[in-house]
Amino acid sequence: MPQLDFDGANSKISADKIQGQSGTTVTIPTGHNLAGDGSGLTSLSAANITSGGTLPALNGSALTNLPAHSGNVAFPATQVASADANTLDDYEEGTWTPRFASTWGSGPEATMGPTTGYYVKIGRLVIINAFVITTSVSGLAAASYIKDLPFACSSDTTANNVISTTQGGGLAITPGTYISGMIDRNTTHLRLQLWDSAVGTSHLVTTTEWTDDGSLYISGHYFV
Amino acid sequence: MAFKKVTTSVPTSEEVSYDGEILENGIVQVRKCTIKKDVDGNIIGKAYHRHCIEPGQDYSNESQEVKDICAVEHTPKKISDRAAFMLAQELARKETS
Repeated sequence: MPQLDFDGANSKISADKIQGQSGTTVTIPTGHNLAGDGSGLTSLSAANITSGGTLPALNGSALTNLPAHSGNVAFPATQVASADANTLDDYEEGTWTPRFASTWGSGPEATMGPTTGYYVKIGRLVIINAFVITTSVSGLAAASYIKDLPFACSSDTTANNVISTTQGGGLAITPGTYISGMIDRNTTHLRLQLWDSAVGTSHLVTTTEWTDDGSLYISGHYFV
Repeated sequence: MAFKKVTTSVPTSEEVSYDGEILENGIVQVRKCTIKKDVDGNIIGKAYHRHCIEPGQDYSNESQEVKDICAVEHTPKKISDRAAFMLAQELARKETS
């Protein structure tokens, strides 16, 4: 049997309003619904929704006049990962500091100049850039690994990613050869390779080709 | 046309903390978080700086809490697995180049 409970001196039901007692909240118990066709919903503000309350799922077919959003979209500091292909589950931006070495593991590293990189992570896509500059590559067997990426690259077998480079300095390379970067799957570094367009082969950049004052702008993206 | 003047508050103090993620293969993704506050102690900004430490890489210059994590996570098995993986990658590259 449907029922209306009326309690308290100041609570009332009128033609256009359901009003609780002053200082209290009108509660719709779990399993009960307040139904309407939506045509009368003209104003909904944060003050109308009590803490801990949630809005029902929006029906896409009814979204014909969404209001403009003038604020921010904030994600939690710690990602709440989703495996759904249509769900955006993370956003983060920050900095990283490239280190230059001849191997992925421990070993001698180049003395870096004022090097800074930036990253933005959107979902599983990581966009990076950096200006990499050294002041000495003494002791390095090769000048080919840029370490300390902000995130590890995905371990998916097809997750290898190409990073573009431009505007280098201090490089002893011949015309027709180009330096490009590669982030291998399941790693946290970028390999610099010299592509020889005349011969059609590439090799890891050597310390002969990257001199003490070598520098390079890098930019690209990869997946985590 | 309206122009809005952009002002930047100058932080007077900073708080640094570390967190991050530990991947199954032992890679530790370190996130340094710097909270910036004004003279009244109000938070006016937050900045992240990230880097990764793979099993087998040197972590002696890390913060103590990161060292503690790496000491536990970078087991001999994970270090040898990582070295084997990297060697296999290198050999595969040589075969295809």
